[in-house]
Amino acid sequence: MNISTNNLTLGYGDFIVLKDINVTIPKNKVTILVGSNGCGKSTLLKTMARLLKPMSGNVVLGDMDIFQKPSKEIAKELAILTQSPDAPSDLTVFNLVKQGRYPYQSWFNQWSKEDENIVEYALEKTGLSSIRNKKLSELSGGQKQRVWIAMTLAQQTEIILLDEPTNHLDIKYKIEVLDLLKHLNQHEKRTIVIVLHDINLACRYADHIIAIKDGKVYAEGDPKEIVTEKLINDVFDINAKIIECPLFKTPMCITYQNLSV
Amino acid sequence: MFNIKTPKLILESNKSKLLLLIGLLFLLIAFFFASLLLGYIKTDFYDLVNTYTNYTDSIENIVIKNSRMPRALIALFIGASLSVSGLLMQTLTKNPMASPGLLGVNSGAAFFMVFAYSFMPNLTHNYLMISSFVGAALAVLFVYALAGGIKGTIQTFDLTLAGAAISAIFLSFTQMVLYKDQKTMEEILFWLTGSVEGRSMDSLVKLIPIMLIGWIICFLLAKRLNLFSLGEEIAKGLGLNTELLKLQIILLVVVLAGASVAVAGPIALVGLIIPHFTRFLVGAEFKWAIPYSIVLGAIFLLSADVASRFIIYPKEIPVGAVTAILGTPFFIYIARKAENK
Repeated sequence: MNISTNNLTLGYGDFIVLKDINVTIPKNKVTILVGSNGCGKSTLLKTMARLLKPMSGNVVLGDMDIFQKPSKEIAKELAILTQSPDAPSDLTVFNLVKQGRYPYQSWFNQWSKEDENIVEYALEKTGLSSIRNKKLSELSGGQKQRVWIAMTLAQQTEIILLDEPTNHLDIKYKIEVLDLLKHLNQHEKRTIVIVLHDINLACRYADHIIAIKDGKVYAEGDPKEIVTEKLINDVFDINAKIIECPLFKTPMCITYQNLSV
Repeated sequence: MFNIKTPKLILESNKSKLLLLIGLLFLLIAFFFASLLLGYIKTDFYDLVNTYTNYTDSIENIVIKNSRMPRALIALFIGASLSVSGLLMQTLTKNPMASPGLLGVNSGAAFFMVFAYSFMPNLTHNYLMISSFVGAALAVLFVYALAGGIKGTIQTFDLTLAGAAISAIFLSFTQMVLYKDQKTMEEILFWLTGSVEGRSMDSLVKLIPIMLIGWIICFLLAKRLNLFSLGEEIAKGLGLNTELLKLQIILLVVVLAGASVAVAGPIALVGLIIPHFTRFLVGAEFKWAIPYSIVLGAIFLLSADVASRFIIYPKEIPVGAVTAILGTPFFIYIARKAENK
């Protein structure tokens, strides 16, 4: 299933955040949206997930405008994890992950053995099987984020969108979460779109980067090809020296304001 | 429902939740009978049986049939309905201090009641009730419109603000009428504090089916409410029509809390405390939270009503005053417990 945008203009009230955006998310790849604070990358992600309505233009999922499709049908093809969601703290891991099966249920289709198996799979993938009965309030930040990712996995969608999934996490958990997403992409051919702050992690994990600046797509493509000193300077308004990461052979940016302070 | 791979804990805790619920149902029945039998006029179980098998015009029979039975039923149904509407409101606004009054239900009902009572003194009791229900519904409509409901997207934060504003306006209107008309004030004070006393059986007959339907709809929405409590964006992402659900919640609160206020006045704290106690006992899952808040709300108001007959015996005080007295320490306890968790 392909997802792309068509002359998408987004904003709040009279304020335009993004204008005439045309992007196509490459299938079965990890795409990362980067840009400075308030550039509209989260807005773009939420609109692609039909959480926000565009001012004009459209989002096309498969061969249909996303706003023409029943929302529950979309939830079987595309999952979104918004930024730091907040669930009742006495909910158990199992009961939260289980909610990911909602799109598949109806009056006639109650909870089934298949739903049960898929929740089991999601718990196993995210390494949560052993703590399934713990309450959310008993979990660390990294575990909590994995529970939410497990919930989107239970949705069994080809496309997963995530808004700052590593926000507020310790570096260990940041890597853990991104490794998990990369694993899902490589072993299960999921199309993954992430909004991420950290340009170095973006370069390491992305097959495709979309850099946003001044309400437009500044550049998009393979990080090895597009991430240059000029791009960092234009998009993030900071100087940078780019070297090759000794471990992953991806671009690594050393950012600075002045060489002598 | 769960296979062997799922550890037993969940099944067991479901079982214990069910057992406790059955226990509470028995407690509810006990308080219902207490409400029928206890009071200024001494009656016993024999009088109760007699009333419904071999009715005579004895004072005991009259009191049970015309006063205590409607009163017990009202306390049961209104306690339950207020508590469920409180649960819905707290879910809708994600605000633990929310209660049905936040939507303007109480202040709207109070103004229409006072206005009708003062300017149309010949209205029968039934019409007064209807007018105060209309007031409750109208206040909610204003709040809904102010919070963006007409444009199709309600912001829950705006809902809280609009509710406070509309409540303040209706409250000041009410005070103006009462200030102008001292006689009304004296007569309506009992209603304004919240009371389940002196209501007739035939107003109840219309009320009970409406409330039962409201409760059933709550049950049908349980799964969606679970989803909604994960946050609006997550719920939307899972395919839930959150705008429709918000409207359904508001309508349910209008019906359940609006009808309660119309009959018994703004009874304090039931809709605030019982949902907290419910979550404290059974957690956030609505398939348990809904029945528990129904049963606990009914028990709370029934017991408060029985207590209201004895606190300054032989006189009675309005049940709304008792719920406040009983509820406040209890509420502080629950709030502190939750904080420490």
